[in-house]
Amino acid sequence: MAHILIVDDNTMLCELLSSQLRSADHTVLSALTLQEALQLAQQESFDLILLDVQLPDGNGLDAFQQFAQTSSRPEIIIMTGSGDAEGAKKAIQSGAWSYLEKPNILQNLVSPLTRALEYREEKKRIEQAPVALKREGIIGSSPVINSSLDQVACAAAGGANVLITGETGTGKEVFARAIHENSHRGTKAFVVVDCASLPENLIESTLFGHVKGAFTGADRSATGLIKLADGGTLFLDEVGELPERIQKTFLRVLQERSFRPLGSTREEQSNFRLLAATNRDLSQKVKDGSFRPDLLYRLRSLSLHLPPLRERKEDIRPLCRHFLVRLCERTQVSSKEISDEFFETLMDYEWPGNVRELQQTLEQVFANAIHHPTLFAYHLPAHIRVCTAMQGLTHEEPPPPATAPVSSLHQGRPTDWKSFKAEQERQYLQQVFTYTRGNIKESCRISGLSRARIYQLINLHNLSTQQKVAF
Amino acid sequence: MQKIFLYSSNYSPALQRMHRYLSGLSLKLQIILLPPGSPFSSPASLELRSNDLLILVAENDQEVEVLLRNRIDYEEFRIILILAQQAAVTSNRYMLLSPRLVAYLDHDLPRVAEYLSNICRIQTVTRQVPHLLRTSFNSKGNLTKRPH
Ligand SMILES: Nc1ncnc2c1ncn2[C@@H]1O[C@H](COP(=O)(O)OP(=O)(O)OP(=O)(O)O)[C@@H](O)[C@H]1O
Ligand SMILES: [Mg+2]
Repeated sequence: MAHILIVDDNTMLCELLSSQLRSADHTVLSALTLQEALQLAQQESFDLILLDVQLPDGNGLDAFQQFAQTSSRPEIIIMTGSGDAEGAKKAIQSGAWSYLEKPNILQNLVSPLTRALEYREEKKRIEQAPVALKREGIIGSSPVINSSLDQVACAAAGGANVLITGETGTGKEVFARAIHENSHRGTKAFVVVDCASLPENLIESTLFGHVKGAFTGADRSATGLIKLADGGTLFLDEVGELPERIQKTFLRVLQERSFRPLGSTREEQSNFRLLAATNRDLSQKVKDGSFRPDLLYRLRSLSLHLPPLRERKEDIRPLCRHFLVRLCERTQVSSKEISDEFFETLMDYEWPGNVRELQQTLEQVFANAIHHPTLFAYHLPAHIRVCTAMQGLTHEEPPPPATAPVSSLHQGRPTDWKSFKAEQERQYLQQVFTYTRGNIKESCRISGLSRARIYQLINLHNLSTQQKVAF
Repeated sequence: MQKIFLYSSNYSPALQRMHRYLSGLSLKLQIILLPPGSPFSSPASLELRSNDLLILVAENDQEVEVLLRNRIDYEEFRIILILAQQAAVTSNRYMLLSPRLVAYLDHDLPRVAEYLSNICRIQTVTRQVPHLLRTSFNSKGNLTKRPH
């Protein structure tokens, strides 16, 4: 039973709809003007609002956000007198469930109404879900990670779509898996769609599958990932990279829960749970026109933002131990000690590549120090050790001018500040390029520098191709 | 040079064929074959880094099961799964490995080549930055000429 508000200046329609909805056990109020409706929406807790567009005191679509943001966050279905493609688009983009024409509203309302209310029930269940979680593989107990884990528990209890955001390497995929594994779908497949690496011409057939002869080279039929995720979870990794044409098709899949393999005339069903991740600002992409707002709205039924590692440095120590234990076990090498200064050096560094960078650093240290029983700071790459050295400098007098090379920080006379800074900048860039293996897009993302600035710095420091991709 | 790691639980004809196929691609790939049956027992495994591409090969359902037993070891890598032939693999359990691409050895390898060449292209293009200052990249990292 839901609490529903009808906003329409046609008294007869209000009465008709009210009586139909009441007979389905819902409680119903109606309002004839926008002002009256907004007042009611603020006083009451509606689950659903049926909103007319042309109202005596304004346009319903313009007031959409005001309704959507009232405390009960109601679902909204738009009703209108005449077909209006632009209005429909605007309504759906604002997050309306559906856009219905009034002449047939009594027949056409049932399906969107049922779906909207089911979805709402789901959301409520999630909010009330108990917090008990399998968290193997997720290390860290900082307050921010604990709160992310609470969100994982809630998300796992329901079935709503979740959008996971966070900088590169913060653990978006790890958390997506945790949601899947803690959900009732946990024993089924966790199907990853790699939106960033799949070439555009492969994405469609990979997602939807195809029948024999669907395109040149399709000499057999193939099952797509959507079908393979039936019963399990579909994870759209780097969803911001999904080509615009496919965004549209995929939106339809989300709305209808059915899809058509390439070259097929038959619709197929798949019951999957959708999770998506991105390190891009999708709202910005919506503004740029490169991401569909209606798709973003659907993806983001729930959202989970993962904090960067520099904001939870207390997790570095347990993460580091965890990675090292795994490496030792995997390669059957006896366990290693970690010196305090090793940890201290890790703590001074800002970890632009987050947990992944920490993990890769340890993999590198482990490989280099395979025969050493204890890890010391000097096993760490220079760009990380330099940060500790710089921390020491910040409390001292500005260094006197000198011409010695800056990389010899520990070896006598320091250099002048300007060359020191330039050298740090060069080392930092080298580190970023090494980490991203020379990928400029990734480098921009990690460093927060614009593409233009990166090119400028490449020229300034005369970085050669060799240096940029040195592994 | 893009490193990719190749592994199977047996030194099977399928693994050998895949190795030959990858070696024959005219892509800038460094293919590292991990010892069949014990991926982490050789010094080559020390070159593995989180997020690396790992190509797993399975001849049949049994080999899929062997891979599944150790799936936790592969979680931090990007997996491409090569199945010997459609007929030999009867269940969808291989999806539990969460591969980013699944392909069949008997008819599907061009897709693997396309996927790998896309990954190499993203890298190669960005590697040559100094020569390309007058060009720009689209959202997938592919090179596009700027209109003059
Ligand atoms: N809390 C954690 N505990 C243990 N391991 C973690 C944690 N967070 C991340 N990792 C490890 O760090 C690596 C990066 O994590 P993941 O792939 O989930 O990051 P991501 O946010 O998806 O990165 P990207 O944006 O680059 O795709 C993985 O190997 C993962 O196992
Ligand atoms: Mg990821």
